[in-house]
Amino acid sequence: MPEDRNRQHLNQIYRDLAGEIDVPPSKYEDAKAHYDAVGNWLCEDGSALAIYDPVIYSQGSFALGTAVRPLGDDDYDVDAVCLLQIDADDVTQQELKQMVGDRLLHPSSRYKDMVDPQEGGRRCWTIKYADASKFRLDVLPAILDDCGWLIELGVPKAWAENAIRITDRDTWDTDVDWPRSNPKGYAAWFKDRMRVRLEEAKGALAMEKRAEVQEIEDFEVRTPLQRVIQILKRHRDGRYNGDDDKPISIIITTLAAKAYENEADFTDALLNIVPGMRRTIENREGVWWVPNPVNPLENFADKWAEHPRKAELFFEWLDAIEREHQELLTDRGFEKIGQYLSETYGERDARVALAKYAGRRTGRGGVAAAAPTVLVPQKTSEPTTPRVELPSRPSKPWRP
Amino acid sequence: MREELIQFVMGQMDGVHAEYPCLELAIAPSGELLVRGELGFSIDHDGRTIADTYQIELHIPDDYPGSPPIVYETEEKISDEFEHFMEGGNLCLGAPIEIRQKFARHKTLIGFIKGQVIPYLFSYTYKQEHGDLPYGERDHGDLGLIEYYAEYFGTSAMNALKLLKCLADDFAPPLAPCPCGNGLTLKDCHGPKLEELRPHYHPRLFEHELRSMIDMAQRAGVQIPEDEVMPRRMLKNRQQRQRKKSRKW
Repeated sequence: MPEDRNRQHLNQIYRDLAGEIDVPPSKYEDAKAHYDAVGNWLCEDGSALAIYDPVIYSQGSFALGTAVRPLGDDDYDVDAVCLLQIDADDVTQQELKQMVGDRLLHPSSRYKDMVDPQEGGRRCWTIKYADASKFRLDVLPAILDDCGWLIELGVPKAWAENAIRITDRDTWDTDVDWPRSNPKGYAAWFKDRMRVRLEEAKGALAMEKRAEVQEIEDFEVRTPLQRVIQILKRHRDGRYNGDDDKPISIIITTLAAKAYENEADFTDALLNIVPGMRRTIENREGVWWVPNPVNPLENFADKWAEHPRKAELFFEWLDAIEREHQELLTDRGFEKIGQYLSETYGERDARVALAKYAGRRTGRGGVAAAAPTVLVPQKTSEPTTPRVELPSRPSKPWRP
Repeated sequence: MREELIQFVMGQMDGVHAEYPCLELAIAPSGELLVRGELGFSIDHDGRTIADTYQIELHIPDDYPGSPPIVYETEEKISDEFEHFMEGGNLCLGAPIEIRQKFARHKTLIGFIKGQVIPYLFSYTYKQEHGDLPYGERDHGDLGLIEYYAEYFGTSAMNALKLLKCLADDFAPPLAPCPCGNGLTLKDCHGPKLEELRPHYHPRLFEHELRSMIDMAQRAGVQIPEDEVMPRRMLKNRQQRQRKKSRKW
């Protein structure tokens, strides 16, 4: 069956490709070192915040293990929550935001010139690190939320109790209610969706390193779900680069995690997840809904109502991915894998993955393909007859 | 190792695409790397403009870029009567050492295509249109090789064989008299030319070519100063055989 064979090849290629677009473990360690240092600065002696016991932890793709290396010259965006132990009755959004900002911009702060912009963002303070490290750390001031209402809505207590309140400059003058979020609870939910494969991967790495499973950090391994999300995000980046209506990561991540059924192989996972994502988007009386799994009242797709093009692009994108991968499973499609990967995921990463794949295809051992596979496609099929200067002393044809 | 080779060739495709965007890099089911597609050119020569396109396939050897690619023309546009093919059906671009030597100057696909593949294809198109080859062709086999070496060293055929003996024996002391017989030492005469060739063949390959050329010359009745021309191992065998013969007597 050519489909089975191509599926096997595709698995290998995507495993390598995902490895290339992944953020290396050292970057995860750097990121942690960066936000830990910020945490220390916020709570060290002499800090006005110290009495509120600030805690910093990562959120977003770095917390989920789904970050991808930025295309081109972009920075790594790391998101971190800065949680202060203050009761909501004792502080306003403006005050909370200002307290964290004051400390970061303190005259003796090493961050005072790195905060960009200096007046802060809508919800967070952004620290830009020196060019070489290419990090941007978003520090999100937050306080704990009460979680009774979430538990009543059916969110498990272990996830609900990490709910937080955050600030929003655009609404704090008009809305007394705090915006809510729960990145830690979301990360716990996400991990739960792939628990089987996560434990399996950590167990395998522990065996390989002759270590205890407990010594293996989550960010050292990747499950097929994380790989699929990374590939989907890079696919999105390539296809909708710069488009404001492009599919957003939180929706991709949520839908993919919901659709994932702990498939062990990448291609199986991808081919199941993509149609599953489409089915998972709810339509509640004409309104598209992608509920936050740890806050059923929050709709990640709330902007789709106002900007229908966002919904259109999302569905169009899912269709395209599905169509492309069905095609790749055929022999005709697979022949063009080199072209497809370069155009879709960026030439640099596609080339490395293809070289690894081709390196295994040395006739013996690896699974042979039916036909030649294109690694670097032609740039055009238009025939050209460029002017050529003959070398000064051309070789004369010979024969043995 | 192999992965590095593949990445290296992928990188060289950028240079190829800058001028020949119709070529692609593929991997055959056997694992062999192929650069293939349409190769077109337009060349002004002797007041005429010759333009043509060919379907070609370059096979990248495992020791690339230690060895140059092997070239096939895949549409059979070049008639068998042209005869400048190797036994495997690949194009015989020139004397083998010459191909290696020219390739080693740049070790790039684009350099190889422009410097060696296109001149060959151009020759064929030119011949089809005008009846003769624009810059000639070599005689077949050993005669063509002797011709090449004589041309390369700028000597007579016999002196070229003597110089080749230095490479076959891997013995060319700089202060020894140059085998071409003009009275200078090697280093002031053909030494540099020898050094230029040396890296492209193993001494045994030079020996192989030299033996074959000597055999050819002897079959044609040419008198050869054996001590000056024959590779050392060939001479030794000969002496042993002669000794055995004399013992029998």
